[in-house]
Amino acid sequence: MTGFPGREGLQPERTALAWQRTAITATVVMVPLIVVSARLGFWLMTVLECAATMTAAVLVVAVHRRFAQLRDQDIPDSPFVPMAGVAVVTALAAVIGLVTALVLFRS
Amino acid sequence: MGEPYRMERQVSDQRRPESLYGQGDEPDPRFSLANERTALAWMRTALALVAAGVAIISISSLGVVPRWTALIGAASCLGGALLAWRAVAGWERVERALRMKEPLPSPRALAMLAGGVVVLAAVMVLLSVAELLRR
Repeated sequence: MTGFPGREGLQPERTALAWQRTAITATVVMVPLIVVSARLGFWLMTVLECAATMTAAVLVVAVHRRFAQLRDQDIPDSPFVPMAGVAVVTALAAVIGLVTALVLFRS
Repeated sequence: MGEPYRMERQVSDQRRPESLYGQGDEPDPRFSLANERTALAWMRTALALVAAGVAIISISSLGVVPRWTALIGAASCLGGALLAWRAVAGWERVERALRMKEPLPSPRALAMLAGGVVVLAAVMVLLSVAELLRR
């Protein structure tokens, strides 16, 4: 189980660190929107944004599991589900940003 | 020597999406991991676009800049959402090409991203100049 063929070049570590950077970015991207929504009194959106931010924070923890998987397995697991998760968080942030922008533009 | 091979099959059979892992041969793990990192770099680019949009929208909510800046932020957010979707789709396309031993698809999203950023910047410059002339 230790003979990961791509161990040279620290491939698993680099991949895990790329995940970490992505997860941290996903966690902070929504913070300004939370402030704006709370200031404007959009409570539903504020709650949604907080939920999405916490989902992204959970992803930071999940990255450690991925790190262990990459370290211990000869064949890497599929990154599809966590990747789709980040895409959903990104899309959610974008949609909330769009709605906020439209509300601001019309007001 | 037969045992590692059996383990390989077991792992690949469980992986999702099945439509991808069900075909072709297992590529060199280094290539798969490089593909994963590339997709993550795209994802961070998408997140940067969304973050830029969010920052512009946050500034426009202060009421110190013209209202159209909110629409520029909205366009940036929209581009980020599309790029995030593209990152996942692009990962799957490259992984499929790796498994089928086909040539890698060209990074078309790169040209689209460059074009989008140029258009967004140009619109922002034009609107800013118009705003200055109006005063």
